[in-house]
Amino acid sequence: MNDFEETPDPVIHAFDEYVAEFRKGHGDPSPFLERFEGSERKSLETLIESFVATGPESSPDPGDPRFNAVFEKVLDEVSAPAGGLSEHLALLRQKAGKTQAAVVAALAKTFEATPQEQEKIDEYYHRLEWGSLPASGLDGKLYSALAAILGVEPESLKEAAGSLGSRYGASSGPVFARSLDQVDLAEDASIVPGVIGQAVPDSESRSEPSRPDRIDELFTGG
Amino acid sequence: MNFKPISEHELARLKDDELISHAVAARDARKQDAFEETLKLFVGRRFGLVEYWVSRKSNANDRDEIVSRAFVSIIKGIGKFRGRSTGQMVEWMRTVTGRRIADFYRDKEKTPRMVPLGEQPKEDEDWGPTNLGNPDDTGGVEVEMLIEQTLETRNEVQQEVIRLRMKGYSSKEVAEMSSDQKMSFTNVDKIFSRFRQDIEKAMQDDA
Repeated sequence: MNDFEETPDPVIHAFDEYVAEFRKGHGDPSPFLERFEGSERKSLETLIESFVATGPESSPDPGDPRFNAVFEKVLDEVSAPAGGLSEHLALLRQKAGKTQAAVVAALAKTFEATPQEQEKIDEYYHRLEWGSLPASGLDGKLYSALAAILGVEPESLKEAAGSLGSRYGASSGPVFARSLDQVDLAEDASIVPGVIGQAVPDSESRSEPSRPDRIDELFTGG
Repeated sequence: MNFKPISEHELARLKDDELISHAVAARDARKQDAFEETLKLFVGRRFGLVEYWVSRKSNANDRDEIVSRAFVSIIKGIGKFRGRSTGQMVEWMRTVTGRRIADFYRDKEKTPRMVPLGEQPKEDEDWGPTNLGNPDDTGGVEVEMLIEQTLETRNEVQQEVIRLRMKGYSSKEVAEMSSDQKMSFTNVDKIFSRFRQDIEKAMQDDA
């Protein structure tokens, strides 16, 4: 039995009904406000506002298709193995006015990489900005090197890696402005998302060496 | 990676930022199921709130898209606010949601093009004043003052009843929780209803 069925005040009754719906994840008060006009409607609005201001929690039905559809969309946007580092790196690189190639060259110089090692750094860095390289494998020396190249503290990169984030190409909105010399342009000169002027790096596309080298250890922990 | 699976019960007791930290740990440990389960719990817990804020300032057709964008921003940014109180966290979520609503409708008006860095949305680390409504919306503050002023005209027991009812407890639950052991749910109804009517009358007088 619903306790609120006993309530004679229709506005309070509507408030209690709203609370019950809210708990199921239906936060829109419109269907309840629309039952009233004038000051009754305002007083219901006030009660609902006060209730919401307490920061109440909801618990949607696991089978609710609308909730599940929204959740799947959210999950898609925050499930990058690199966490928030992917977007953060791209933004920092843009602010520093550097291309990916320039960052890769700077990393290669820092670590005195051979040409073959630089190729590896190139692929790893692309995967990192793409969001497909797990941030958990990144070495502290790499964070320091990237931070120095991009003009930030290593902690900011580690913090970004410790949060959740999108893969490149997800609808991350305007944050993901890429350098023009790194992207392909469509016929109307708009940016083509997901195309970075070369083959999309795939975590399985490169054959793994039988023994991790120092570059592997920098980016994946070996 | 230091990931320790925990029970559903323990998971439900985690605060918002702790839930996301747990999800991050699950992700790093490549425990996809635990990652998704934890994230779903967080989204479900705050779904009603985010939908409330979005529904007040958007069209029904746009609602789900904006709700999902708000959650993405909240989840991505919440790690920066570890240790804050629940009230502060909820207030921050409200601010972030307000920004995503504004971004959505601003972006809808623009033709498709890259948005220069200088025009990009403000960082969500800003804990400035909530601005979910119009820029000069002081309605929320006035409502809060009206409620507090009306509450002050009640005795302690009645104030307790009203505050509990505004938190969403039913009349029956409030009667059981009340410091007055003789409190019945009929009395709770009367106290809350009279409070509501006084609020209504005060609003009519102001108008």
